[in-house]
Amino acid sequence: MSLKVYLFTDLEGVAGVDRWDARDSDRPVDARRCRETRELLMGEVNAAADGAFAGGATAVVLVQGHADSMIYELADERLEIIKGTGYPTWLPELGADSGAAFFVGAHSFCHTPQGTLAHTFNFKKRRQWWLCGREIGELGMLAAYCGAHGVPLALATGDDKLCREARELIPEIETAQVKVGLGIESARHLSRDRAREEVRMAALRAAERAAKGEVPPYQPPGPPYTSRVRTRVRNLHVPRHLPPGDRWVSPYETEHTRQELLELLRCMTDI
Amino acid sequence: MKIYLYTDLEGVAGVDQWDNRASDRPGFVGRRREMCELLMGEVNAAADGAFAGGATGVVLVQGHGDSAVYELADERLEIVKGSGYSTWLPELGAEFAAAFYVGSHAMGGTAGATLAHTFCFEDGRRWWLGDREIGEFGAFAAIAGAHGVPVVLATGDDKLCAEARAFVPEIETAQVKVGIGTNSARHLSMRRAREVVRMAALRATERAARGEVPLYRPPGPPYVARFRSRRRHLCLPRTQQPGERWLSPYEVEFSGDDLLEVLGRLTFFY
Repeated sequence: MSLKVYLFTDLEGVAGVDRWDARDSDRPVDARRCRETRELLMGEVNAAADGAFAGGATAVVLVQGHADSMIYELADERLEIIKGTGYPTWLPELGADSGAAFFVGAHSFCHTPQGTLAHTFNFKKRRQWWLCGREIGELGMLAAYCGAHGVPLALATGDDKLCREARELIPEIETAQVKVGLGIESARHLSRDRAREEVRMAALRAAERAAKGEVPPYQPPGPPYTSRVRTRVRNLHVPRHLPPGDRWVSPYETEHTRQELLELLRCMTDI
Repeated sequence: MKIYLYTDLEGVAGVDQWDNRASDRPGFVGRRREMCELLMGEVNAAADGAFAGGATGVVLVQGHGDSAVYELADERLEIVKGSGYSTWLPELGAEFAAAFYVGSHAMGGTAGATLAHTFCFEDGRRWWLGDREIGEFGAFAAIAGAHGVPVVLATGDDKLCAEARAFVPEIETAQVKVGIGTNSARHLSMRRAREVVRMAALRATERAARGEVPLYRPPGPPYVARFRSRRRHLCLPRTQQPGERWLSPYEVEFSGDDLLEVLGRLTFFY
């Protein structure tokens, strides 16, 4: 019995992180803080990997979600590590060969009250997504992509708002709550090592439950599948004349309809 | 038994972004150091494998500008580094029994290869030797072959390993990552990558000692090398040498009976 885990990461949901990633800043102080933030991420990633192996996983592929956030040399030696920029798809190498997916360091969707660093893909544009009538964020998007490949999302880690969002979408999911959101840039955090222990134990349970088939792949209602994408600014990157199945709802919002779920999801993440 | 251990940076596990040596950004200074440390880890693994396989001397030759971290080098190595070498492969000669190419990358235009390029990414450079397109690996193998030195080890991503085996089927390769795109890859973890490199270096040295890896010899003489880039080379007709023929402002051919001279011109042409 082999269980391969697709371990996807973001940065904002890691314990200790409550400010936007200043990776584009040229200030030395930001370079230092950026490094510290990345180290905190790697600690939770390794805790999740360790829990997954303890729970029966036979392979774990770590996939960098947040740009330029991996510290390669700190990764657990049992991992394979997908990182870089310009992936051909949002979730490279995701496929039916994975028995379960984990989402470590995730955050709640845009406008979630008191969700630490809550956003959907792009904070500045205040992007929002709806999938088949339900508002989703990056966690919902990952769950839907995984579900389309028949892969259950078995673990989510982040603040209390993210954990609640995950359980509302997938009641059977394991969550590791490493902080309580107080505002967009503040939180009450567990201490570093306690947060990692929470992540490790939740990952262990998640791997065990995935191996027993207790977590269903997320499937939105359909076909046909519909989605809406909204931003607070006019989205100039989208062509004025959309392909069949797409339409403008307002200058800020597009609606998409597809028979194939994966095709629809790509409409949303590729905008 | 002496090994010529030549290096590049782009094929090292953990590296998937261009080395922007000119960048002064505080964030990049740390990243560059990390890349060079990863390189040194694989270099030392290769050297350790070589000594375990019977090598009596290993000379490390820095290929990628300013990438060797001198104080991290295995103490049994001699280290050739610096800038402004007089040839692309300094000190290469018949006293070496075998050559390694650590941290190398696929040739320009290779689909799905991490950091694929031929000498220069920005100008879209491509090389041909005779009818066959070559990258840095092919040029390295041909130059080493002309010195009577077989290339017995190549390390890098899956595309580079396939390229190396296409030129030298008997070569040992260490695949430390799988290319996904130009700037992305699925990497082995650091420790596993080094172990893969060490074991391949050990096998490569043993096979070199038994003479199992032939020299790479392109067909010829005469030899014809072709250079193409996206940049117009307007100044060059003035300095045109015998054996040099311009096919367009973007494309030039070098020909002659001396393979080392032809390849020397190809690899020194900007």
